[in-house]
Amino acid sequence: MKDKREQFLSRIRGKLPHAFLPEARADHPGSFQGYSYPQMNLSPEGLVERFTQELQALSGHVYHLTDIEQVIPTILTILSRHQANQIIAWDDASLGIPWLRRGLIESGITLTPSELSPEDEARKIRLAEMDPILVGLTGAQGGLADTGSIALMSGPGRGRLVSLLPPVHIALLPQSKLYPSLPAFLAAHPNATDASSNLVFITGPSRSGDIEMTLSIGVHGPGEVHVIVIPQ
Amino acid sequence: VIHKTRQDVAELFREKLKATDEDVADVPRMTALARRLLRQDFLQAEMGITGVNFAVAETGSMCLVMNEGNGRLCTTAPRIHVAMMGMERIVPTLEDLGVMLQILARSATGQKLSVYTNIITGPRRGRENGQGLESDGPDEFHVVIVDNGRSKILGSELAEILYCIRCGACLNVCPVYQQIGGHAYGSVYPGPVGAVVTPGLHGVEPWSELPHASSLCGACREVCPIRIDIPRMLLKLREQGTEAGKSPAWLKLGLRLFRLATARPGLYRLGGRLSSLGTRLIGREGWIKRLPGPLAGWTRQRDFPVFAQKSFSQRWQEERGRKKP
Repeated sequence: MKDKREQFLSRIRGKLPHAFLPEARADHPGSFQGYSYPQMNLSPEGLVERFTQELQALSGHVYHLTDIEQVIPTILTILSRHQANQIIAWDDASLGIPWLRRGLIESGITLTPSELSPEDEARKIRLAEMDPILVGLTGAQGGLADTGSIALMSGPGRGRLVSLLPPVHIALLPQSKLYPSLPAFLAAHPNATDASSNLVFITGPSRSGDIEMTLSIGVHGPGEVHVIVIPQ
Repeated sequence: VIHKTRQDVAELFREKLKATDEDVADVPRMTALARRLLRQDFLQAEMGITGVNFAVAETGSMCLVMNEGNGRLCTTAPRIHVAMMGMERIVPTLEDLGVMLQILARSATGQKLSVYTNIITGPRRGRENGQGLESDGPDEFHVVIVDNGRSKILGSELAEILYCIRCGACLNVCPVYQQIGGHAYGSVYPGPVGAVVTPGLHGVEPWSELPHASSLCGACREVCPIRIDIPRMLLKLREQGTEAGKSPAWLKLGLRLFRLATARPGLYRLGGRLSSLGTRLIGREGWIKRLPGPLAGWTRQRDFPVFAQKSFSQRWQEERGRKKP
């Protein structure tokens, strides 16, 4: 194994000096220095506005709350449209609103986490249980204004399947976590990949154009994405 | 399935999946059927195997970009995730990944960002980091880095093609690809980029015809977000094919005769006059339906025009003679 890896690497080392690559040096594959991102100088309100425009253009739904108390009625409205009273959700700390879970439970909603066993059979059983659940509720570690995306980082209590398995995904996004663009988010979170084994940027509902380029929404992921922007 | 019509897909679904007419009534319903059936496979699978769009050297992360969400299911539901990547997928830093992601979706589908940009750094994290076990995600994560001829390309004049991010922009603009479609390229990499990559990976000799599947119009170079000079490499491969003796004998003989004639004005004029006379003899109303002998192939699917009575140089001399004071 070690020998094979050494062979592999030395083959590359041997070839690189002869490679016809405009920007590269023998010790470096070439980088993008000098590339600059288009800068967006948007006010906090401007960021929300742009984010909303972009996500709505992709048939995502955005809610602006002026008062944090509105979060439960907003969620309940979405749930009632789907006649859903059972949801999978991130844990309280990750949703960021300590009284949210209790409020939802008092309204007759059952919340379960996405928890998978390291053991195959138990894992499959839990997946089969979660499959029929219609709605997933997550927080968000960031929003990207120029693309209408939300950034989710996995972790304890922050399951990945919550934003993937159910046909409806509701995300709570604090307004303070809006960034102009994906590169701006990465620049603000240089340790994102240390902090989380899965960082995903979600840009609208799951879609496909594989059959005759006809747009279909909700292919393997959610067909509905609702982002509730929470005031600071 | 982008090369099949919705009727083809409907037929396939009826035959293989026992779909009803209602299931395949329109595209969204066919997609919903696929979701329903594939969902069970995703949830029962014990291992997910994926490709990789980019890997990041600095952090050991893998980035998978998709619109449907199948790649997220593969990398989350099964206990084991195996990622396969060509060795040229690696970018140095997260910042570089940001640049690539800005480019990829825009050049591929015209989206600003694909629906899911999934960055994976190892299996789910356990209790060893002082926090709780991560809720879900794979417990085992394996990466297979594939050379498969890429180091051969690296050492050659085709190395530039390894910069390709597989956005497919060159396919969409290529007039040849638009006519013949992806399967005609005979390998997993179709289009202009495939015409360079395939001979590069598997040798010029078995693939010597592929670099000729291009009009050298340069649209691929024009549209490429990385500015890869594909026409330059197609010409290089054609040259290598010729040097390897891959051009047919009749072509060599023909080119030798052409060189002989064009280098001698008298011979060239004579040839021109003979061709003009010959085509007029066998042509009817300005067109030849069937050329004789070895030239017959040319007229199998089109007519050949009869040469003009007077050549360009004859007319040029006459016109000049007329205009002179």
